[in-house]
Amino acid sequence: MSMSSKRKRIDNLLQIITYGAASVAVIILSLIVVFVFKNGSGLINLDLITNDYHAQYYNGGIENVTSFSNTPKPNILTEEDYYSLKWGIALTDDIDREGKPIIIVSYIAEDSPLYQMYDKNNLDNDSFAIEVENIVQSIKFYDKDSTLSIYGAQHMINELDAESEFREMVFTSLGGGIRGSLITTLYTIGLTLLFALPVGIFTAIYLNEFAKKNRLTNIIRSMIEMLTGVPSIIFGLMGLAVFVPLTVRYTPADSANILSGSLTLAVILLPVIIRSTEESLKVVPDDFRFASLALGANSTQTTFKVVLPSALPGIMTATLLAIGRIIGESAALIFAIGTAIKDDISIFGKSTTLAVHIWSLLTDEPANIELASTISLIILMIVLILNISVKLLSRSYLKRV
Amino acid sequence: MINNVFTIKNLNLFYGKYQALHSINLDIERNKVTALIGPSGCGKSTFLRCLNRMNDLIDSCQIDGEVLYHNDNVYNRNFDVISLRTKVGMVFQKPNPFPMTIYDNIAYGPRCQGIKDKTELNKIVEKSLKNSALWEEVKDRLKDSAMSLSGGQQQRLCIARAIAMEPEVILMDEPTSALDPIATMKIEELINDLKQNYAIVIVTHSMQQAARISDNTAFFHLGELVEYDKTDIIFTTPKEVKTEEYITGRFG
Amino acid sequence: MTFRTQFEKELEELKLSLIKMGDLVIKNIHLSLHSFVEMNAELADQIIKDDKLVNQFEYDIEKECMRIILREQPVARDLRLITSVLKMITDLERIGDHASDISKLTIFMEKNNKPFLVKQVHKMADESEKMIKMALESFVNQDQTIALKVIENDDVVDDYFNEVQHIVAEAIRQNNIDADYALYLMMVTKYLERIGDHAVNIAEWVIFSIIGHHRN
Repeated sequence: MSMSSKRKRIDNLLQIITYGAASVAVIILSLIVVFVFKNGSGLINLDLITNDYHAQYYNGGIENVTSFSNTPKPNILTEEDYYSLKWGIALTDDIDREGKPIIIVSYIAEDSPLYQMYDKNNLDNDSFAIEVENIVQSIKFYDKDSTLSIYGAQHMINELDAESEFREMVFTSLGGGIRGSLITTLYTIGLTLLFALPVGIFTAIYLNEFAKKNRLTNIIRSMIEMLTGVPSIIFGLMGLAVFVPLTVRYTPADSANILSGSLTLAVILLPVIIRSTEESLKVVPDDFRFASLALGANSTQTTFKVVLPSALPGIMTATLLAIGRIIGESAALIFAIGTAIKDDISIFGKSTTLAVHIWSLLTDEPANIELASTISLIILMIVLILNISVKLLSRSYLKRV
Repeated sequence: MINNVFTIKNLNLFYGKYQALHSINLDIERNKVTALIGPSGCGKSTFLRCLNRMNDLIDSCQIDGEVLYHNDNVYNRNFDVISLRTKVGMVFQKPNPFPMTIYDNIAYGPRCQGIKDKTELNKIVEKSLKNSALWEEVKDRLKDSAMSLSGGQQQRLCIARAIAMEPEVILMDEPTSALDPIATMKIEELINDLKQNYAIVIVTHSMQQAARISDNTAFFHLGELVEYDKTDIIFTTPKEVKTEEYITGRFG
Repeated sequence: MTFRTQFEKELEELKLSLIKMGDLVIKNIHLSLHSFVEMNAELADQIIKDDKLVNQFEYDIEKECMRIILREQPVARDLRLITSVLKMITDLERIGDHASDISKLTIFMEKNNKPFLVKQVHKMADESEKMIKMALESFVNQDQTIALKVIENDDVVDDYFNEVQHIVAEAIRQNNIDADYALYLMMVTKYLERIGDHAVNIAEWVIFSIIGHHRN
């Protein structure tokens, strides 16, 4: 009787431990998501994804203004928007992604004389124009002090209203977008998979289907396994030492670039892809191989007509994991692809992926936690979408066979 | 002699140092069902796999002696294994259709041999399914996955897949051990029909099955062929004490 | 050394039932002879009733054999043994019928007949009984030599039959015997001779169960 009650107590204890461990894991993981979501959701919008990172500076000049605007303040504007009837422009106080106060153009009337501004830096630029959402830095006048963004939108409108000409308007486009990094990430995913998948899958096929089971293949296999545990910074070193010079030499690149980054990532991913492909080949029942061979198929036919299609769902999962790794990798890429955040993306040019973008934001002084979280959120969403689509793909594949 | 498809002479087989078969001498007759019986590990399946050289897949396997297929030793260095396996089909213990459509399963073998012509493949598929008594059940769903069939249907599909190659011999390794009694009966019926056109060699653990469907029975024990005779004789008046003890359930 | 203890037990029980049936049949022959020689109609009645028991034995053993075939699916010597038992009980049943036939003759017979050739008839009956006994013994021990002796012994019974036939024919010619009685006597000896033949059949089935085929 006492034995059984003791037994019962031990059983209960073990159960409580499992519940406890599971709860801790779930809580920690959800806290991460909550943190990222709480910090990052504020900034998330389509502009962030489509905008350039670097703000463009414009110096607009204007001379001999003859006709001014007539448009009254439109109803869509609120009291926060300060409107100049004469110049047909509304300005609003705001803060930028780093928390500094800025003045944003919230409205420009169609008959605004500001459309007559020309680009003082490039006189041939015909498409030059101030646009809604541009940030006005300062307006410089001929005969009085410039008005700066630190004085606020109201002051700027008042100063502007009082004049019928000005020397220069300095304004910038809204920067801080991640379009460049996003495109780099997509390029990197595509290029890396292009290199790593065929090599990895064919290596796995060789090891699992064709290679004799002897000491040599065992050594190769354990070396591959060892490589999965090597810190990626070491691969980054290799990328810097091998792939960067190689690409510089044989391509138009002149420093670390997407190609060298992708090649480095491909090397990091090879062991992962080889291993998981091998695993999925291993679980293909030998019955299929025997059946195929017994029908007079040779081993190549057996591998590519029977074994590989059966292993496809597993290989797709491996690919998904690989993509996750590409999106998440930063240490190696700091060297192999560079940390320069760019807006014009070229395979042979410097740029950076989202993960390194986060790294850059966090090494800024002060660290931009909010934007970093927003990018994290976007990465989470990309991974989620990939996950779901791979699941749907393999399900529809499984249904077909 | 003219009626034998296989003549096995003094066949020894080793897995590494372990000898799995001891000087087997045996003839496989055309249009007959030959059953191989014996306790587990007696070498009957190993022997079966010598006939289409499936033992080649095991690295440590070594063979001496002769397996004559129409007077050609299949273990000769220049013997074409691929063509042997198209002539000697095999059906396995567990139904193992490929994860593809019913049609593709049957067409797999012919396609591997380079047959691409649609109408010819259609003909082969229909004929094979008819000969394996499966046509009526699946003719409207050839494009369905073979995995959607029942276990018994899957096994008949595997037989159809084997006869799509128009073999001369069909080897069956306990083909009904994973099936229910009704499915088993259908396979046995099918085997009985198939022997009009093929030599069938079947490994079975069911003595009743061997007695029901085979013409000749070989009793293996500890890697030796203890007795080989007409099935009627083996199951009524076996000559060897070992055989009698095994089939009457006194040992094994 | 066997996994099939239940099966072995069933086979032993089957053999035992067969022996019991044989014993009953032998007893019936023996008594029927007595009833004939002593013209004891009461005894004869009893034997005719007892023949029902023999039939019941045949029915029971047959059922048991079918049950064993169904459940144990015997092969080889087991299959031959059961097939032989099925055949042997038919022979035993016919022997039982002959015992009751002899008893029926006793009942029909008039009571005032003078016993004739008693010694030969008894001897003949003894030989037949011995043959049945030996046949069953050879079956139980699966001993071919005893079975072969049974087959040889058939000639002795046949000789007795021929001897009785001659003596009776002579007595009829001499008018020393009642015609009805002579007929009955001939029929009794014919039955005994048939009983010997059935014993030979049993012995032949025993040999089949041992060697797996019939003697040519």
